[in-house]
Amino acid sequence: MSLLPSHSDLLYTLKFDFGQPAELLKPVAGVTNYQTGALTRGYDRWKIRRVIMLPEKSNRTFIRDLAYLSSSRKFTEGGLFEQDLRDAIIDINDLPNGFIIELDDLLYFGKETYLIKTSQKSEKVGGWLLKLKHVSNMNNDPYSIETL
Amino acid sequence: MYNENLERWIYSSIANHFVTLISPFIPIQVEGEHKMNEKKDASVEVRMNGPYFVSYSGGDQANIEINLLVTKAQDNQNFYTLQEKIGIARSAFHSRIGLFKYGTGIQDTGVHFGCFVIQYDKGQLIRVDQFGQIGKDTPTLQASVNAKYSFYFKNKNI
Repeated sequence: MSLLPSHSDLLYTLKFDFGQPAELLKPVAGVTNYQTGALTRGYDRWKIRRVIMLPEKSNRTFIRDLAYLSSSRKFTEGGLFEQDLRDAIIDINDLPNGFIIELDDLLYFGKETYLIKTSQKSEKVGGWLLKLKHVSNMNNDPYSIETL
Repeated sequence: MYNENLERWIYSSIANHFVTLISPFIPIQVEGEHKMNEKKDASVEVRMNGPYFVSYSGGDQANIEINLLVTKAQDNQNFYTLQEKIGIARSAFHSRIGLFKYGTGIQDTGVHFGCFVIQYDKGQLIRVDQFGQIGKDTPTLQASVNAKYSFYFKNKNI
């Protein structure tokens, strides 16, 4: 008999020690009125009692794509924003059967809404491994829980 | 040669012009100014390049490029909020922008000493570039508003 804990035991221990309540949001409908600009968005929500939220890493960065550089070639500074990156693990058993976490889904945690950069289902661990991102110096109103 | 304060007077006059006109509507910062910690829904950043000096027999000319970077968090209520912000930023590009001797030094008298006049650049007076969402996983939209200005003067020492 192995003395090492099984993956499911590890997941349970992590959930018990570090699990925090969060909400998973999945977009289900979206209508845009192109005359007025009014947006209507609908989300299905799943409350999860214990999501393993790993520590947050914050950094300051910028993104300049080709369109930006071709139009403003002389402006090579500025346009900085701050982002928080963190990993999270969700127990597969905490989600409905056959549930798939997609990149359009959102995770609401600690009054902030995180975008899902990557999602990876691990049958061996028995969980979804998520890489999350949040732009911290902008009000992410589109994903603010109050507006959904 | 040119007055050693000219670059500072130009930069401070431009910064003051755009901050005065835009700040009642959108949080604004001048490039290099540190205001990152404020959470905001939208922001404008003022950037300037130049001056490039040209000398003529009848006088001198200082040319600058002004670039406003408009940033807007993606909105869940209205699809056209970036364009609203662009309109506010673009309307601050007046045909003339006054130059003043701002500062606290001996020569910084605060007096008006000239005007930048907007110039056509490849047939365009003001150029708006809309970049949309800046990254595939960054729910932030950006656009820039650009224009070139020239200031003509006869006395190098102003």
